[in-house]
Formats: sequence, C-alpha cells, structure tokens
Amino acid sequence: MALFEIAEPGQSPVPHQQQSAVGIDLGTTNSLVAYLQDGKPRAMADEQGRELLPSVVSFTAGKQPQVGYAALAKAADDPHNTIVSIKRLMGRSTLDHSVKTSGYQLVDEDSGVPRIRTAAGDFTPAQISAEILSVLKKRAEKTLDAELMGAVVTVPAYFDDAQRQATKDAARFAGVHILRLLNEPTAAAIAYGLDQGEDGIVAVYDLGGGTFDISILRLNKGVFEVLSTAGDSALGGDDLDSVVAEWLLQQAGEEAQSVSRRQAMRLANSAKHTLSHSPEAVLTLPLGSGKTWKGTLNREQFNTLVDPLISRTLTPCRRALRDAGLLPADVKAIVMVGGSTRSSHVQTCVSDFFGQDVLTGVDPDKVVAYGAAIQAAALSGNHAAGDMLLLDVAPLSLGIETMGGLVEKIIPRNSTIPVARAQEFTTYQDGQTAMSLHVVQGERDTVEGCRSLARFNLTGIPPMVAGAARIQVLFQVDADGLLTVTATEKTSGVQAGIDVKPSYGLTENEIEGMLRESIARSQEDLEERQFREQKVEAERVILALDSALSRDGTEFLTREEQSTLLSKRQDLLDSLQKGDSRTLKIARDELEKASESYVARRMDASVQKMIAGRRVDDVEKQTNEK
Amino acid sequence: MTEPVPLLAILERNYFQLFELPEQFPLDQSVLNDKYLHLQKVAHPDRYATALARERVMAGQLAAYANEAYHVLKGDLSRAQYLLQLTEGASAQQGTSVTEPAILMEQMELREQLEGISQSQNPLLAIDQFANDITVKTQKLKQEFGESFSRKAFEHAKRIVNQWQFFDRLKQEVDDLAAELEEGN
Repeated sequence: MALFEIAEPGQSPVPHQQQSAVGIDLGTTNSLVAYLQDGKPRAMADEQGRELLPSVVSFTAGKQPQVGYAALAKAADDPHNTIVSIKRLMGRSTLDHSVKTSGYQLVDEDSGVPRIRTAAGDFTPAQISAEILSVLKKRAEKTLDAELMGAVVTVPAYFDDAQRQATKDAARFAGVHILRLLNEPTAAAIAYGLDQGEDGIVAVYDLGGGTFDISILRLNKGVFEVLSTAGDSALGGDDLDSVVAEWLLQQAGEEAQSVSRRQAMRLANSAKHTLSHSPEAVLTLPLGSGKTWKGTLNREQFNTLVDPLISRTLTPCRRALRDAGLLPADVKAIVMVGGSTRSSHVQTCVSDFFGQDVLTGVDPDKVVAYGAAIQAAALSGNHAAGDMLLLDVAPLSLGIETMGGLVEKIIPRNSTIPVARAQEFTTYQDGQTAMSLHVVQGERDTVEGCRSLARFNLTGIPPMVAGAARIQVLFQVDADGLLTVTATEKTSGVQAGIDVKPSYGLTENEIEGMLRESIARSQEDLEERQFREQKVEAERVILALDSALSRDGTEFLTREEQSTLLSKRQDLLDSLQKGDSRTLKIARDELEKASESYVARRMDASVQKMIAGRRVDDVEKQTNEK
Repeated sequence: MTEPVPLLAILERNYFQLFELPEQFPLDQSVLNDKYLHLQKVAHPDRYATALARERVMAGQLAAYANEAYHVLKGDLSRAQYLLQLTEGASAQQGTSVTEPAILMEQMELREQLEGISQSQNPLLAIDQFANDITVKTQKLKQEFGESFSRKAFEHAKRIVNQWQFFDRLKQEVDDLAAELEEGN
C-alpha cells in the first residue's frame, strides 16, 4: 500500500517543489545570477530590468545595508562605509598586501581574518559578500517564484582553500546552499559547450573591471584540468576607461577643469561601448559654465590610446602558456570573458597573439554566470546535460610542515578531486597523547614559501611508549577543492579529536555567531529561517528517497527494511507540519541513518554494473535515465 | 565531526579489481581510461548533488578511491610498485634488497654527469642527450620488469623497480634543470 504512494509522484504529500538551482557569478566588480530556461541560460534582472549587480555594499548606522547601484552611488561621498571589490579580500589575512592597501579601516583582532569597520559595525569579507549573495538570492526566488534549492557559485581558478572556504562561508550567511564551487574559466568554457566538444586546450581570457586573468585549460575525456593561470590584479577594463577619460579632459582643454573625473570616466565608458559596434563615438561633455564641449573619438584613436594596456595583458598570456609547456598554436579555442573584450581591438590583439579567431558568441559579461547556470541545472537533474561530468583538479599542492621548516607534499597540485591521501605519524615521547600538524598550500619546498592553511591539533591519542602509536591522518579534498582532515590511532582504533585553527579562516564558533548576526540584521526570525532551510533539505531528502525507492526499493530491501524506512519517512513528513526546525533536523537525520545500508547496497550494485565491461552507449543510456 | 559512514563493499577491491582489469603489468591505457570514466559517471559526488547526504559522502569516498586507483595504474612505475605490493601482501616478503655495487657506481656516475651539464659548452644540447639516455634506460627497465614479473621472479622484479625509481627521480631533476636552463636563455 505504502509503496503505491511512492510509485505515484503526483500523490506525494510533499508540496510540489521546484528544483530551482541557479548559477552565481560573484565578481570583483559586478555579480550576476542566471538560470536555465527551456535549455537556454538567462540572466535574472532586478525590478528596473538591470541584470548586472555592482559588487558594492554600503553600510549606514541603524539601517539595512544597501547593495548594487544604490551603494555604488555612495562610493564617492562615503568611501569608508561603501565597500567595493570585497572579493580581493576574501580569505586574506590582515597581513596581506591586498588587505593593508585596501584603504578601509581595519579592526585588529587576534583572528587572522580582517574585519572592516563601518558605521553599522565591523564585518568580515565573507559577511560583506553575503550581502551581495542575499540580494541575488532574493532576486532568484522572485524570478522563479520558488524557494532556492541551491546554487553553483564561481570562483577564480587560482583561489586557494581559504578563499574558497570564505566564499562558502558567505553563502552560508546568506542562506544559499552551494551545490558546487566552479572555477570561473571552466564555467566560461561550459557556456560555450566546449565540454561537449573534442578534447584539446582552451584558453580563457578574462578582462574584468579591475583584474585580468588568463587560464589555460585542458579538456581530456571529460576532465577539465587547469594547466596554468596568470594575470595582473591591477589591470582591468576600468583602466581602459581611465586613459580615454584623460584624453577627453585634455581635449576639452582648460574649461574642463570643473569636470569631475567621475563624469569623464562615465563618458569614456559609454564611448568604449559605442565603439564596440560603431566606428565613431560622438562625445558631449557639459562644462561647468552652462557650456558644453563636443568632440568625436574614432576607433583608430581609441585603439592607439588603449594599445599599451592590451599589450600588457599579453605578458601573462605568454607566462601562462610557458608554465603549461605550450605554444600559442597548441590552443584549440579562446574564450573571451569580461565586458571590455567586446572591443574589437582587444579581440584583434588576442587573435593575433594566438594566431586564430577568438570565441565571442556569448555575452562576455554573462558567460561565467551562464556556465554556472548550466552546471547548476545539470547537478539538480533538470537538464539534458545531466550527463555532463566535470572532473576538476586541486589548484595548489597541499603539504605538511616537517622538521626544519620544510614541506612534505601530501596531495600534489593537479590531482583530480575528490582525492584522499593517508599519512602515518608516530609519537616522539612516552605517553604522548597529543600532536600538532601544520598544513600549508603551495608549490615551494619551505613553509615560508607556502601559504599556511591551518593547524590541526590531534588529541585523545592513547598513551603508549614513544614510536608505538600509529596515527593515520587522512587528508581529503572534496569536489569543491576544500580540505578536511581526520585522524585515527591504528593500533587501538581510537578516533583522535581534531581541533582546527584555520590560519586565515573563521572557526566554526565564529561562523555560528556571524550567522546569528546576519539573520538579526536582515530582521528575519532566526527560527523561521532555520525552519525554512531545514524544510528545503527535508523535501529534497524525501524526493531523493522516493525516486530511489520507486526504482529499486524492492530489489535491495527486505519487506521489514522497507517498512522501517517508510515509517521514518512518515515521521519526517509529520515533522514538516510541526514547524520546529530542530525536530525536523532530527527526523531527517534519522531517515538518513535508516537509509544508510540501502544507499550502500545500491551504489555497490550500480558501480558493479557500470564496470562489468558494458559498452559505452549502454552506460550513456543508464545515466540519462537517472 | 561527522560520524563515520560504513564503507562500500566495492572499496575492498584492489585497484585492478575495481576496474575489472587483470592483475598484470601490461595494460591497455584506453581500456583503463574508459573504465575510469564510466566509474566516475556513477561515483562522482556531482551526481548526488540532490541525493541523500549519506549517498553523497559514499560517492565522495568512491570517487576518491577511483581517482587514486586510476592514478596508480596509469603510471608504469607506480603500477609496477603496486603489483609488487600486492604480491608482498600475499607472500609476506619484506625488506628492501641491497643495490649491487656496479649499479650503485653507475648511478653515482650519472649524477655526476648531470651536475656537469650546466658547465658544458652547450648545456641545452647536453641535457637533451642526457634525457634521451635516461628514457632509453627506463624503457629497458620497464620491459625487464614486465618479463620478470610475468615469470613470477618477484625478487628480481623488485631490484628492477629500485633502479627504475632512481631513474624516475633523475628524470625529474633533468626536467627541472632543463626548465631552468631554458628560462635563463
């Protein structure tokens, strides 16, 4: 009887749930949220129809923070409380150059994470990013008219563990469930469908507002591998506007002295846009005294002005190719990212460098978000591209500090993730019950040459004579590129306790505290929000279980096991009605636990089926059915 | 901390068994590639983004195991080492064999030769020649290993692997030096 209920999804007592997943490009200058509609990626717009959201957050005492255009308008008058380019500070320590030179008022605290002092309080970069994510989340839920199930959020390929973790923390503060952190260049390549094409080398040229990145990827049988990245963190589209603005002011002469730089920049920016589709831009600059200056800028003049800047981007291109051991001719496709790559001169220079045409079919401002949206749909099983498999690699080597400040690599750079490596350690003293491990990330042989990630203190080692304990430490990097460490003493089987002190990240306690703060600030009810988040999770679990049971429940479960599972499922459904987040979480955990051996059996079976020498198209068929 | 999740039965297979490949040294790389990608299609955690949390954790373990297995089997030297490790587990042969003096002499001479390259008249040409010699020697060892392993001459195979390891490390140093020399040019 009960199984009938499962076989008919229409009769499911779970309210109809949209599997709403989106892609988010959390950029340095602008952010964007996109989704897949009828198989096509689309950017979501605000009420005024604007798709880009400036990555700017402005704080005012006693008020809600403003995000986007409204915040951008305050940047000039209130620079200390208007935070721009927060992405540059994500996962950075108070000692980092980018943090020290940020120009913001920093609060000195013991924690390695900088806090920026604003009129509304002190905030970490993750908290500030969360404000941007919150706005995008609201926009997505409004557009889809559904609770957001999850998001694929993009990060630069070179982001290290601390920067990725900070991005994940930001999503947690904003209540956004991250399906996957995706590398930006990989996302851009997906938007062009390159993952479906032939194997080969792909270059992603990303000229953002304030940064330039070049990434060399290799597609090899479904694996997108980042071979190398290079860039210039102080060169971007804004610099193009800047040289044009200078030229403008010079042309307008002395009368233009009253014209603000901001005004000139705005005009330069619009001229840049005009020139990407017409040969000439007419410029009108209002001068202070009621007069206006009129002039024209043609494409050739523009090209001459920006040429030195474009040339500067080619140096990192050369370096990235050299690091990958490749020549320009080895590259099969060049993907252009960032609004400034609309300029025909940029396209020509890059084409000339690689000796072939560049790809420009997809809007360069949206290409990263589009790729993320495609991946999000694939992950949530909403898309024919559900068959897509992206295998990423660890961007940097992970190692531990050994005697004399040297580094022993545990997981080398470019290992396909997820990856797990075990390492055995022993004690140096009789009765020693604790030990400390310092984990670093980077390619150099010395600790100073690498970036400190965290210190792990292992406790609860059973006391033994020196050298007798065999402590196996397991380093695991998940599909998002994030590290977890677990330790077991092998002779006794005792699981050692691990206390993590992230060098530049937030501890679990700090995260909890900030989570509460952020909810309070948004004037939400804590319990209500937690219940809502738990509800989405619970519904997802029931859907997943129902779909599994309807396919092979009778194959892998005895009658008795079926009824246990179904009663736990019913408990969870009942808790959904009760409105208490804690009860809901307990019921979900119970159901998860009860499904454990079922899940293991079916996974074992599906793997066995898969590798028992079946032909490719059979396999294809099966995964499509999923 | 998350509580431990029971292991999948499939994780008790060795790397060859995991991909249903014969436990031998010769390997068809394209078959390995195919099996690996098929396995990742059911194992990768991305496949379980909306599944039960337990399922996702297990998939992560499986995918990591598959990555490790693929990595070890793909490399000739690592596959050879792994095969020896499997036979050692079965027959409990332990300990490393002592390197013969003649081989030790050769290794020291090669190292000396490598150190002299930067001072030679045409370092880039010299290093290319040196790298070529190493590749030829490695190829020979690889063949020799395959033969002795299939004859079940495990002790001999182990000695070959020791030499092979030396050449593998030397090749790494040669590559590093070559990159350094090219950079300096």
